[in-house]
Amino acid sequence: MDFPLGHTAGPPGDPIAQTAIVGAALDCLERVRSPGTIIDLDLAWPGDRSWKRADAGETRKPRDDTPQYQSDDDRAAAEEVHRAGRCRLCLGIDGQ
Amino acid sequence: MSGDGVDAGEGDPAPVDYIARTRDTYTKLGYRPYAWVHSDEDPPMAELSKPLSECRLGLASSGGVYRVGQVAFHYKDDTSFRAIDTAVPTSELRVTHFAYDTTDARRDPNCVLPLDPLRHLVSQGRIGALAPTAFGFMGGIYSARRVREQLAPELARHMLAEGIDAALLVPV
Repeated sequence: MDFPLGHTAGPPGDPIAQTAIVGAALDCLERVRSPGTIIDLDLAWPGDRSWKRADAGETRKPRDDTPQYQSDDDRAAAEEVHRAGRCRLCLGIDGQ
Repeated sequence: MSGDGVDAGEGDPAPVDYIARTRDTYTKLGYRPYAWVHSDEDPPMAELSKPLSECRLGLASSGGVYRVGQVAFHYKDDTSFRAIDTAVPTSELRVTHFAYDTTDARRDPNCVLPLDPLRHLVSQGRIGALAPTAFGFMGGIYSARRVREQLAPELARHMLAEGIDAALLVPV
């Protein structure tokens, strides 16, 4: 399927399309018999095509090595959890 | 797709050539030419030993998904990952990534970590069960060696420890 980056499992807010795409991927577990097989779902992106412009989509951000939270609230929540020593879920950080 | 001839300015209907675009991006950034990972061998083929409806399915995504309360990923070759309870409310999922537009994934994390669709497929009996844990990590790690030698084996170890029969990997 020919979707913009960041939509591997489908368009936002469309559980029917998402379930169809995920289901099609899982079908491969039972149907594909050779490595490298690609199944074309022939799905069109529901929005406009501006994302295909050569000057669109370059959204790379600076390669910063500090945590990049979605929001300041997330930062506060993570710092609170870690202060309390309750986090066992961030793996591969500091050799965990 | 269509041949309506009104595409000017709206983007070419042909699929984006990401290989050419990545080469251009690297040139513009002043990097050395991108060295695509190449394998001389086909990946090993492993067929399901039982129907999917009896399988326990693992899930991993390179979309930069974490859960509220977890440390967010950073943007410089972050090879860590986050263990996310597959029963988590979607509203507790967050997304951060340096290399794609996260607007839609933040609005609906199912775009890159499709837990709601998978839970639906479990309820329908299409999948036996989900593993207790899904794994979020970052793509865009510029060292294939670190992925191959650090991240991938660690992910596999954690997923296999949960007794999965198959895994859905969602690349971004």
